[in-house]
Amino acid sequence: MKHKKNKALKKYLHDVKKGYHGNYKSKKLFIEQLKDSLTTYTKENTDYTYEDLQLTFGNPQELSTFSEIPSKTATVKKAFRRITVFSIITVSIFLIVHTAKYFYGKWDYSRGYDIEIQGAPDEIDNNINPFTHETDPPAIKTYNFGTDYAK
Amino acid sequence: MPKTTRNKNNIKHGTIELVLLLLLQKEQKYGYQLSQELSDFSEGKYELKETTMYPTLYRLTQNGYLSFEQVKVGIKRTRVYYLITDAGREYLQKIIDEYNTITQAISLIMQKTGTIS
Repeated sequence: MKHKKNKALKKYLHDVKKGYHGNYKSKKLFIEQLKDSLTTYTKENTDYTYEDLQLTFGNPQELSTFSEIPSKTATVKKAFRRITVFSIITVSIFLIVHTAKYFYGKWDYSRGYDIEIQGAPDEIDNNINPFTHETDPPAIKTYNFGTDYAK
Repeated sequence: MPKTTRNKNNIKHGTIELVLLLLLQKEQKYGYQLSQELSDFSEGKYELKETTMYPTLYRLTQNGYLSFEQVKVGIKRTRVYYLITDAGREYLQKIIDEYNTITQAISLIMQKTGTIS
């Protein structure tokens, strides 16, 4: 009998949690209060059923039709939170992409590059690295149009 | 097929805030206490289920008309006491005045349409 009553209580609480569509904060407060009231009620009325709980505390299915009109403050706060979250996400994506591009560029440049040389080697100008302002890293390969391609 | 009204007891729904603030104007109370007093004071004519009451109490709190205090009353059991604020008292007076105006107006209409003598 006690097991049956506990089952009715658990089922009622489960149905209420399912039916309540308010925000997390209000739902938490609501469930806390309801649990306290249910405890008081079940102590005073030991012989209860699921239907008794519905009659006394309300139909859980009706919770979803109860239109909770949010206050002006809550609406403004919600809108402000959405804008803040959207801005943080946008700025984060921008920063991640640009940081990745910067470091990739640095790494790619540091690997060296092919130099195509036209004319005599002693006529070549040394390029300056735009990031470090130092002389070029050693070339992986050098080609001399005058001699290499002729082979 | 005509659209059915979703909310039953439309007039009662409009007075929930009024009755809750009336009950809270003198001292702080918790949810179960409020629903019991409501039933006792109205001699069973006005019953408010807790599933209807708590969202309204939360909204009144969000609007600054009520404040609440959570008190531990047992193991894993918290009781929430509601208390009216100064802004709540002003709001209560406003809705009492509105209620009186509307009920007087409706009485006049009912008299003039012969619904009541």
